[in-house]
Amino acid sequence: MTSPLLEVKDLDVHFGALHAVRAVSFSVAPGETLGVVGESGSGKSTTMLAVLGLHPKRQGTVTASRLEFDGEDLLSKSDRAMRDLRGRRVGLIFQDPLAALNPLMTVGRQIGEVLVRHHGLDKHASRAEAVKLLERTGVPDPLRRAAQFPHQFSGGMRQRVMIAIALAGRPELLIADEPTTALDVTVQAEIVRLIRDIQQASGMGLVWITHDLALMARVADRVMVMYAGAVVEEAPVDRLYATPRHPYTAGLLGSIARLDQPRGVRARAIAGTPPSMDQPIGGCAFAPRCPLRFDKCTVAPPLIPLGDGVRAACWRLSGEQA
Amino acid sequence: MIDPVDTRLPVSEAVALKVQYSSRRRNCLGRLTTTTIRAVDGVDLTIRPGEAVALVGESGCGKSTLGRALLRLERVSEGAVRFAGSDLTGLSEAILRPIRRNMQMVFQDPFSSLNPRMQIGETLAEPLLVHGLASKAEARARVAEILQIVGLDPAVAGRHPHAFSGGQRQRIAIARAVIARPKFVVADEPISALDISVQAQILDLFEDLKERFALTYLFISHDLAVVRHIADRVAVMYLGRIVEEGSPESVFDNPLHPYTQALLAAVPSPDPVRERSRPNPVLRGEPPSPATAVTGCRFRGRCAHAMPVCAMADPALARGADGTHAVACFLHHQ
Repeated sequence: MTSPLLEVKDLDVHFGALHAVRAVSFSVAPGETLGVVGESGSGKSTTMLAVLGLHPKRQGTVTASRLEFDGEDLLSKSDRAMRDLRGRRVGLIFQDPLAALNPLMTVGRQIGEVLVRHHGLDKHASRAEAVKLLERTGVPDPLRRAAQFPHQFSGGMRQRVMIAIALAGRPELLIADEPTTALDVTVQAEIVRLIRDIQQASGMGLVWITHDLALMARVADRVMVMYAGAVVEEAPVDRLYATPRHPYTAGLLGSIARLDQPRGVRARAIAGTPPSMDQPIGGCAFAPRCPLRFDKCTVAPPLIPLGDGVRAACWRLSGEQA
Repeated sequence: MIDPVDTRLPVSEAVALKVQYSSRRRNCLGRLTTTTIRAVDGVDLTIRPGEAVALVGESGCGKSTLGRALLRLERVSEGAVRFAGSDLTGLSEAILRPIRRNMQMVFQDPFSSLNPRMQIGETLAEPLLVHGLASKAEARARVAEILQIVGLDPAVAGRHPHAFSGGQRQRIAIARAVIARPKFVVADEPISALDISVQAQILDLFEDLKERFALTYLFISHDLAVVRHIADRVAVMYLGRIVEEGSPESVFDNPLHPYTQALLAAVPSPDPVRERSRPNPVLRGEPPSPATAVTGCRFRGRCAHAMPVCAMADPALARGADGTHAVACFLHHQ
């Protein structure tokens, strides 16, 4: 394996008493897609925002024993250096493109701005490059569309604009946070294909955050499952879906309705609800909902390496450590 | 429309229904122009007692408007809406009010559909008291009973909505919808705002209530996988019109309309091996705006099978030989 593009070890994020991200470690290699799956409040987005230095310093405390992008320590970087990194080497796409775009600026200018600021292009060249980027992201009639405002675009087209902006800096790493959640399934399929095509052409690393396990199966090479702010399982995508090791992963996979299963096969719900994050969590966070819990679960389990890149945080697996 | 063997009165019915909005605004030359949005553009739909009918389609196809029109929460522009045989089309709100307790709605977002200032016991008792169905003491007992049925502790009646999680709030919203024992419930994307691990719980609850109270449902959903597992019948909507209708088995295993085929082909499956061998998406572009007037088949602009006839005539929803699976496509019309 090539040396990782992004390496995170023991990342913690606190917002006052709220411990939102708990000892999260992962890495992303160039050309690879790491999928991050979890429910709302699981810490999946907070983790990525912390990595990118996007949490306001006064509100959240971010600590890690290692946080490196391409071998450079990110924790010691200035705000200015982080901003430059985000514009040039790391791209970001969010769920809601309308909230992320400036409603008063034409789409072409918004893309061009990134090129002027981070790549030193002049106004004229940036304008031509913006049209090229729109064309590359599949926006029909890009010359005319570049002169339009975000409200004149449909949801799918806006997300293409966001992708064009994220790609303007030719990033080595793209972080996509639920980029297709607000879109219809037919549009989602096109956006997924677009991002994957771009990745194949550029070899960028990709972190894809979603709560949709079916979509995850389509996009990820490796999947990290988060629950209540911590990683509960990580595995290559085929392994995770074929043999989920953590009871939460197994429960999630069993609870989703599948189009390819006959009507008689009912999804089984996981009982209970995820814990509230403003209360301290003693022991395994999933234990109150877990069908396999036993007396050991009052202590938080570590991530146990199980071989072939599989790790899972469950005491039931501690006997088969790799 | 009614199945010849099923002579029972349909619970809810749309007949050649159209719901249109018009908006007047100034164009770039300062002239006043009127745009007509055809949200529902000629729909026939019959929902029989005890059925769970699912309405699927992409955003903007008119599925929510159709659901609301069946409850007369929308003004009918053309055609008719009936409930248990009576025509609701032109009725005033005052005349509709006593009928409303028989037709209820569950919304997508349980965070905005419950009054944050009311204790949930008050919220739940309201339909009973408003319709004069119970005394205060009786209402209290009914509230405790319904809380238990939807899987909550009756002791929580004194709490406010903020004390509950999304899944619990949706249980409360469902309890409010069914407490007055309605005949017909329209659920508009009732699980799509909930955490994945909680969604299956709420579907189980809908199933349980259907048995317990002999409910008839219209589920509005964009999630085809969920629909397959809960619906007795599926109707696929595209740009204000139903383009295919039938049992989940026939629609999902043998989709006839090119739009239904494309929609199903785009749904990801939680199986990485299968996903890797998936062909590239077939459907290009996006649906036209419901404000543009369409001639011929409304799907032809995106359809891989478009023929000359599709530009000239609008295909009707026609039933096949089995009498249940219906499709609005010239490929299948004799």
